[in-house]
Amino acid sequence: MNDAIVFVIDDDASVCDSINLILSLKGMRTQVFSSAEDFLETYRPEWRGCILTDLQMPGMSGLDLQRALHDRGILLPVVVLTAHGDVPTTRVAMKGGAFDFLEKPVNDEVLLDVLKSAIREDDHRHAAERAEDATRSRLARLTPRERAVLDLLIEGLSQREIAARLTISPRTVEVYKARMMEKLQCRSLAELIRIAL
Amino acid sequence: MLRSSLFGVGYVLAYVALDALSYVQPLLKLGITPWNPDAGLTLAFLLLRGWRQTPWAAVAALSAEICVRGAPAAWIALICASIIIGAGYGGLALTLARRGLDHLLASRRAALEFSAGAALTALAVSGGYAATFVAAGVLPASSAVDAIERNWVGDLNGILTLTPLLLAAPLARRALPALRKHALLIASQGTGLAVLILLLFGVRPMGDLPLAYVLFAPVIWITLTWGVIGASAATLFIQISLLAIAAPHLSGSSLVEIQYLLVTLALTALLLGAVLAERASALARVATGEAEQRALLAAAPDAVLATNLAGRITSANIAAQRLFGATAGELVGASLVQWLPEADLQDRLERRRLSGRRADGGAFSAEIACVRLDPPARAGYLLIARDMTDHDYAQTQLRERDTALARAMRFALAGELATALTHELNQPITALVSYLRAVEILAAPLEVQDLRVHETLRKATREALRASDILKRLRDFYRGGALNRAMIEIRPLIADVVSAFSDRASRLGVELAQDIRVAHEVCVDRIQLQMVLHNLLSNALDALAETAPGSRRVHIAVSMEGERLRLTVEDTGCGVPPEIRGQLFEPFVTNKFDGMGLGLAISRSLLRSQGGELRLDASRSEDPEACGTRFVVELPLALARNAA
Repeated sequence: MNDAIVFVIDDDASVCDSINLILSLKGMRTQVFSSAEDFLETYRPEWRGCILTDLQMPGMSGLDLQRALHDRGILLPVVVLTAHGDVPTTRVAMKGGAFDFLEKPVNDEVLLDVLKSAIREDDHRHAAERAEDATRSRLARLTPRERAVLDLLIEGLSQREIAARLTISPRTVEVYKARMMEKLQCRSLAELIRIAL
Repeated sequence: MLRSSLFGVGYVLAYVALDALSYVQPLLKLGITPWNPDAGLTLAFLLLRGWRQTPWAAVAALSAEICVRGAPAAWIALICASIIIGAGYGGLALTLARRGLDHLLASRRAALEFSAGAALTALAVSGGYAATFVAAGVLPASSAVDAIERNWVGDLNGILTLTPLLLAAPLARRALPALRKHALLIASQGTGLAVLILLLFGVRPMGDLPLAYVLFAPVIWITLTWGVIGASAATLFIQISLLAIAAPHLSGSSLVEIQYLLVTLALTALLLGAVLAERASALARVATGEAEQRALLAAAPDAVLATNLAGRITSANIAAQRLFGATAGELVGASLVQWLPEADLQDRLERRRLSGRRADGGAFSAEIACVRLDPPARAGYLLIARDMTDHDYAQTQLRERDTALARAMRFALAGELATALTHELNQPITALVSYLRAVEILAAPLEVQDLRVHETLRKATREALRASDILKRLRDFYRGGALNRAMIEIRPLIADVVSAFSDRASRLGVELAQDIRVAHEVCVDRIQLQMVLHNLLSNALDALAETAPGSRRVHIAVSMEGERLRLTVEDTGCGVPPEIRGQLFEPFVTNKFDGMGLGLAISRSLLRSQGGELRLDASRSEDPEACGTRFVVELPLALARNAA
């Protein structure tokens, strides 16, 4: 959570400044943009945290930004903050995958809660991504022979059947299995298969 | 052909017979007799059968000369004389036939023409006839004038007495029942005339000619009863009786004198008959006109009442009976004030509003026009009254609808204003609240711990939030207007809005075209859609007012696109300036000098609240060549059903 940043996008300089101030006082890192276009230009893939955006802005609106993020595969959670609390726009924003929808002027406690949970969501997503990456790199360290044994294990064959299929002794299959479990850092056959899947 | 020849032969036989019968006191054994009914027969024949039958007339004349008088002169003279007779009456028939047989004696003018034509022709024929025989040496030149006179009066008399009667012969079958009905009258008239003739010519010594004027009385009586036919019949009757009774005792010259008298008698009767015919046709025309007027009054959609000068109703048409809920009997004779209490009878054609009273006591609003009738009409007043109840109701409806539209318009305007204001003010309020909270946090660790600092900051925050709440409540109040959807027809809705602009459009010379392709009813909020259309049309006309006249056009099109109604309003104006195109639907954005910039914002909000959309046609605004503006309204239809 340490590298998480709240990206504040609002065309109103006072709103940007005051939100920036209160969030930093609450101990959050922020970065301010005066337009959605500005944000998209400076965006870096390694950015973590969440977006807090106004809905109505000259040029690209909050809804347009959501669409652009989706198109570029940027998965940062979006919290919409608007002075226009009308039902149709809210519906569109939520359908577009907004994390939450807040009306101006906003209670700072509520804002902080929402932003924190948005950042937590972002963290979870990254943790999951990281775990997946680790598994993938570990699987890559298996030898071709070990990989073949693993595939047959996944198919549900017994050690004896695998030995017959690969024309090796069941004892050798046993050895491969033990080495794979060590490489993939798992303690049971069930865990081994879950990782491989 | 055969039929025609049979008619011809029959005519010749009749001619010869009549000539023989009337061959009384001839001059020098020629066909110069005081009464020649054969001339009347010839004219009638030629009129009835056509002037092309003229050769038959010559044949008949020749036959009579041979059969009755035993060819009194050389053949060539006889043939010449016959041809003169035939040609004379053939020419007369040709002239008279142009007027048409039905009208030959139907007016004074026609009767005069007939008589004058007969007199002139008879004179010509007599002259030719006499000249022929003088030339042939049969007639001494000294007797020529006498011969012409005798022959002329005889021919004229024959025509006046016989021709009208014979012309009526084809109608005899139709007239027979009427004659039978009045048999007693006819018999008494005939008897009276016969007795009179006997007294005048049979009993009294002859030569007392002046007394013959007494004959005028019965002839006029008969003519007044039977018209031209009666006149002819009566003079014919006198003529025949006279020849039968008196001719043997009278000298040639007295007989000619009597013939003059009879010609006068016949002429008088004929003209009287013609006057009567004229009067009858005038009366018939008046009757037809009156019947038409009556039908017109009866069928008139407005009540028509006639009153006398004192204001008593003298007649009332069917619409009047319906208007007052009364029968004609209840209306006629009643005082007008009983039905129209405020009516003051004056000659004023402009319409006035009065209240009327029905027979059942109910009151209604009536529009009245009144005109004074002066002689020759019966003096009084003619009133036309119309029930205005339905008209007033429609007017009220229209006014109410306008009022509702204007109210909705004001409401939407206030709503849009409140929404815009809320948005604009919420920005600084948001900043304010955040700053205050920040100050509160910043003040917490300060050395001087005055609790009032936190207290005051919290109060300030609360006040800022309260201001924001007030704005939101204001906005929600105006936005709260619930949708009022109903099944309506698109065409009249558009016509309503367009009619509100028709004055302005015609003043600007703008052509307002419509292309509405939605025949069935659709489910929308009438007033909201009207407001949107009102805004778009108003904008279009504003834009056109700034363009050159001549090509000012607004086109409204409505169609269905799947489940959505699509309405476009297109003008040939100056288009939307590029610099405001992006924020066209934002509040307070306008390029009008005196505009608020809320119309399009309101329209879009209204449509979006119904799930619809309002946009500027992008394809047009991106084309730099295209002038004008096209707005597109899309509206989803909750449910649409076909109009019955």
